[in-house]
Amino acid sequence: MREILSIHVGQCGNQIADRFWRLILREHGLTDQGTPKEGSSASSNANMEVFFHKIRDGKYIPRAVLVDLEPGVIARIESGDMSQLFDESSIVRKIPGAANNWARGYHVEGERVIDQVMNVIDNAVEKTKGLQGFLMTHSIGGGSGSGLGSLILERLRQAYPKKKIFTFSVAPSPVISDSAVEPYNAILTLQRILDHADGAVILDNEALFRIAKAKLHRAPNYMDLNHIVALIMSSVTASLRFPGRLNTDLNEFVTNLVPFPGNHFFTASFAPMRAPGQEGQVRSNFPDLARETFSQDNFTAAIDWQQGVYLAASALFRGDIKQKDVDENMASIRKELNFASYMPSAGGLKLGVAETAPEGFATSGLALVNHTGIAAVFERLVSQFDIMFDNHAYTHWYEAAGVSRDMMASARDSIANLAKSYRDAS
Amino acid sequence: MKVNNTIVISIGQAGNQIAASFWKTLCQEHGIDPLSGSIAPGSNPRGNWSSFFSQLGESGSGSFVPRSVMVDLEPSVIEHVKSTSGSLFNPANLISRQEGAGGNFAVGYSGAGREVLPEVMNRVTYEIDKCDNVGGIIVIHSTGGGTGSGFGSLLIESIKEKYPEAPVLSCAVLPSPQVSSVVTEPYNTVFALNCLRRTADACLIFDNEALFELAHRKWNIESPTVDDLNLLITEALAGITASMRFSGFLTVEISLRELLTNLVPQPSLHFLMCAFAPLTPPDRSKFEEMGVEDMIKSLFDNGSVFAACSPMEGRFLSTAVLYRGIMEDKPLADASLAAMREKLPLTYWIPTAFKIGYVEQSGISHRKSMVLLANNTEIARVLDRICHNFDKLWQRKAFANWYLNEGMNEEQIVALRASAQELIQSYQVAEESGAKAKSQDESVTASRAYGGGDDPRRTSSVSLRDLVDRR
Repeated sequence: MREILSIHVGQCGNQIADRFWRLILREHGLTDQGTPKEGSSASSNANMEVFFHKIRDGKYIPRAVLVDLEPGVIARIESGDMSQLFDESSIVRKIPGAANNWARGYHVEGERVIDQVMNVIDNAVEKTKGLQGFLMTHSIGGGSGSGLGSLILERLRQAYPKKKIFTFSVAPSPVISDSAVEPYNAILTLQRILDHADGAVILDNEALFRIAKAKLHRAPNYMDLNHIVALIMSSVTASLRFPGRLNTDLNEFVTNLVPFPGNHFFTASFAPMRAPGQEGQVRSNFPDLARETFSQDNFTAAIDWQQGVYLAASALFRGDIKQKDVDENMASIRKELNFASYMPSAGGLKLGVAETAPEGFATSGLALVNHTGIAAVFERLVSQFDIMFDNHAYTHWYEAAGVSRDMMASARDSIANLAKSYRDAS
Repeated sequence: MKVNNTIVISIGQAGNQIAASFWKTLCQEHGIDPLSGSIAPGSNPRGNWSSFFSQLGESGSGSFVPRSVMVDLEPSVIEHVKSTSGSLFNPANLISRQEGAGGNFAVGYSGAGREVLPEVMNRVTYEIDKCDNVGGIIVIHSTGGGTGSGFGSLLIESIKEKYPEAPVLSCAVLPSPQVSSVVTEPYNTVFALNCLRRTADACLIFDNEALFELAHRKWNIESPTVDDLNLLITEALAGITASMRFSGFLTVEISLRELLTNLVPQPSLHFLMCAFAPLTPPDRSKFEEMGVEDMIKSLFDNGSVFAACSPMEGRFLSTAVLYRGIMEDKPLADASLAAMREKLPLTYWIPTAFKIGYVEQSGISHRKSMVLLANNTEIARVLDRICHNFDKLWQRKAFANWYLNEGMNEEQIVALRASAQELIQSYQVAEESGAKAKSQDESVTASRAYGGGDDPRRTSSVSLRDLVDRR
């Protein structure tokens, strides 16, 4: 089998884990404790082993490692509905937290736990027959998900040089900031994602908030935002979990979506976006679904659509959808998408169809795209970084925790170059 | 669940009076009996109690003990605490001496202070050893008296020497002639500032001058007493520590270290001020409630900050707002806070310094409340006032003999005064740099100067760079 190991790091990473595994369990007809629901056939036609490890009594255990430097979120998962789901030995929780400081997550606190984390990961990998790679969920603006997440990425790449590493990375939003040092944390983490990951889906809280607000018709909370992330993750991984033809493994994702080395930062869109519990009430026809899937304000990062072009894109439609509908409608949508001039006109957009829709949905659409406008996300962070860095704001916290100004400057230059390489690819 | 543990050390008359009322409030918030440290049989204390309380034994049976060390060089306040707190505190952690510090920094720092230091460090070490993880040490003291200023400085220095990794937050009550008992307060404060500036990780200022006005105007008290001011301080301290004691909604505790990461942009710029809302008189809070929008307006109002200055006239370097008990109003609060942010004089070189925390658990006297923690350059005005009073006395060497007799020399005194001036200057430099480059910054963002090269911003930062080295 081609198993995938999910690694959830930090508060945000584990909150997403909570939502993500909830969805995945339902899609595979499992209870919150990982046992097959009576009369459910959902597990029969799925590649269960990719995301679950089956133990003797017929229970399925997620191939997941939960790591946090603050125990709160994990404690809540363990005391909630899914209390029996995760393997106790795959959870690493420590105090005192990284205090919003990448350097503490990477050096001070990270070094204390990294051996244990890698041990847990190695043990989980040993339970696989043919691991294809890793998924990491984390935020890049905080301390644990960013700093410890970066350290884990480095060690993963060292220990498993041939395996694919994908991240779902929550980026600081342009308007709402969670902490003063987000630009530093984000730039330092992006450098590690650039160097050590094969692909990263960038999700920004601001965009998620905007989408949630527009679609839920009420003020969204973090749970809603994490739910959107979970829906996207579920659909990105659907092609790995259910039989199909497109993007059936992580290698194929990389081949289809990454035209130049290093340009592996994606943004995603999920449709139809509905308030939880109301998914089934609206049954959209395919043209509407396809249009919403590729609507610019449905994407989860602050992309510069005007200046940029599509480098690559793939779409997955799930549920009761006819191939004929897809072929007819997508031809016109493809024409509207502004692809880079040097991309083959028909080749840039890959389409797939899967029978199983997410729980509660009749049909759904997912777009995963590599668009050069993502440079805007990096440019904004670099410019915030510069203003603070040049004025020595907050750098003492990093130096005190073993991250020199040179190290920070080199991360900054990597990401400025990354932005430039995206702009040059336009 | 293991959490970060915080130890509270209170020093001197004001420090211990505040601490006594602070611990009483904490007991009430966590459902612990303030006279015995016990809880109702079969129940558990509310929230992450172990952040501020320890417990003997593994579970259930033992009572809950504040992680507190109280020190005074004279006996009256400690005796009062002993007689009014039942068996709440560990008696070994209530340390006092007979002779007092005579309102003299030098006595607290070198004379009687040195003598009591080993016993106090012993108790601090004992408390630190009991912690799963030391999240921070909060020192509550006034800078006007001899014990709070002198012994406070000495103890902070000793703690940082032995435990350099533990974040130390000084909560310093600054003197005001309105409620003053000691004429040498300006001396003591200026001398203490040197240690607070060089050794403490951050210093939260409670300015009695402002608190007196607040108690007078907002609480309608004709002539407020120290007790009234201490109540205000207690409300703020309970609000500030709430995020360390209770889990928020989806966010978990905000540790002291995390607050400091966000609030201290440069090592020398670590003097914070705070504000609390609502400032409804305590006896009316049961009947009147303030809306969240008004609370946010009031937090940033020049007249309600706990320091005698006008933050809106200065520049905000960093800001944290902590909500309590307003989960359903959070979207509204966020929106009005975002609107408020637009109006604030922010510092252009710190674009993202705005931390928000929220805790579901209400405080004792208000169902909904908020605390503002701000690093604002107007703190220079407060420090300048103290220095001005210092200079008036020092010009004539008035009362200087008390310090000289205790072994300080004039050179030292001049150097300590100069150190306070440097602190004021660093905030003045920060204020100027935050304003003047604003237009420059906009032009840079517009032209998107990439890949380094001749960056105009680099020239504007020279003075700030000097500051960093100066510490």
